Amino acid sequence: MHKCLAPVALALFCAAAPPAQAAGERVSVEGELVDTFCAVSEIMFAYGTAHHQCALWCLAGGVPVSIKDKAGKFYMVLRIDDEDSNVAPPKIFRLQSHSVRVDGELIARNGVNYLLVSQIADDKGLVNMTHENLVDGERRGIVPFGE
Amino acid sequence: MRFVFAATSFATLFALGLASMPARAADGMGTPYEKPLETSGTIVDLVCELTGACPADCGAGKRQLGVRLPDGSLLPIAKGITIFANAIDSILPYCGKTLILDGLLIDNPQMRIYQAQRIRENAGDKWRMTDDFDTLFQAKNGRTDEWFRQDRRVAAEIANSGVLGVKGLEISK
Repeated sequence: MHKCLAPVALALFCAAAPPAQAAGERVSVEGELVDTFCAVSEIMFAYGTAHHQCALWCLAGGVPVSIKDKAGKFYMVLRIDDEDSNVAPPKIFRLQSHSVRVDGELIARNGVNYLLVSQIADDKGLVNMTHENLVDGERRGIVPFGE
Repeated sequence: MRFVFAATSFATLFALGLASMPARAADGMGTPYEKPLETSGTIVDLVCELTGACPADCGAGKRQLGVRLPDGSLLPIAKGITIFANAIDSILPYCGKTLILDGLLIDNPQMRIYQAQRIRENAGDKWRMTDDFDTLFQAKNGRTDEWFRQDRRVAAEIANSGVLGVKGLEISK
């Protein structure tokens, strides 16, 4: 009796199980922490000191953070260390716009590289001094609003 | 090296203007990769969708959200209609449900993201703008036209490191 039911039970279990999740690939990524929307949409210049204040505003507003590496690839950060939230995580306020090297798990899906960061291996600080070269009409040094 | 900003400044001002516009949505911002996109799909917690780690209620505001489209693909929602803010507060009540969204697909070859400008549950319903972030912020912090200048976390970080993000660094006149 039990032997007869085993295949049925297995079939029911398989039917009820959630879809298989993709296993992430262990990676080390180096680049600048950026505001995803401004950087990916190119709505404005979105890097370094010139854009730092705006990047903080977008972080506070829950816009996801990404790392852009030297090759121009974006990695959307969905976990940072032991933070329990990936919406405006407190740790990122101190790290926004910094150049970092992180270790983590990469999951690529439908044109997006998602990154679950397990460790910030190196933080070089905010070293991309873009404000020095920024000229926007009467506004100098910082976008948007020039303040 | 100089950065030329005429075009981007116009785009920025246009996008900022979106925050105060009435019912019209799916307006363009003049950016290179944008494509108007009205679509429907299931609202999901991105981490849950990718890893199977699924807290209740899509993380109750602590998780970035996305939409699983009818073809099974996953599209992250990175922006709402409120200036400098995502649409999480507007979309979270629909966790696990099907929602109709209207907005801009940012189809950058390096990353595809979505700006959800307005939403509705059914085709005959009135559209709702994705501006709940602003409403909730004002309810908690008092009325302001520019929520981002009142955010305490940003203020604390700028007090610590300055608007350029480096202590002691200032814009040369």
